[in-house]
Amino acid sequence: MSSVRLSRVGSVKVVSQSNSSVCLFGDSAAINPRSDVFAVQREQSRYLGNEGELEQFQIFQQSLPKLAVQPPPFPVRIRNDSPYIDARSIHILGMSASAVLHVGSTGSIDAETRIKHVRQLLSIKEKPDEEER
Amino acid sequence: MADQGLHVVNKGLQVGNIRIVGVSSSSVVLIGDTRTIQCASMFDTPPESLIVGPLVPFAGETSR
Repeated sequence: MSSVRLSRVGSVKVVSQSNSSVCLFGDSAAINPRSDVFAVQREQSRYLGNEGELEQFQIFQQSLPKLAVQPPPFPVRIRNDSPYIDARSIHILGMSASAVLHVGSTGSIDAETRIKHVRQLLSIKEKPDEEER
Repeated sequence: MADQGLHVVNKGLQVGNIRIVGVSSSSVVLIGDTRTIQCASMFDTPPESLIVGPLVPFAGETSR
């Protein structure tokens, strides 16, 4: 196995991170972020609070196609002429579900996100009487 | 020395300023080495997810 390179970054600025996103400095063996999101937008903002049984939706049940990771069937030789990976600065505004920022080396990254987005609009007869203009 | 196979030579790698607006679902920004990366993301907004009509709440979470 080849030697691991050193990652050197001058400055890092991340403004926001959300569900299961990872910001990691240093080496790691494996990163496996998972996140299930059920996003509901309602024209009339009435929410019961405990809604969101994920099992009722197929998207949270079905398995994702995965590649079987296997070593290449030919010899691989890696030579690092320079032991460094340099970056002057990193500036990220937003990191979403299961996103990864990793400064350093790792063995494997395996990220999964499932998002179900539902919008509920009122039909015309359901709308509360609008003020007369 | 055998000539067969894949021979990778990593020369010096120096990057200036990295400016990213958004790292989306299951995306990776990596300053370093890795062996494998697998990223999967499912996003479901089918036509039937636009519900027009009386407000019907979704099934509640069962306590686990």
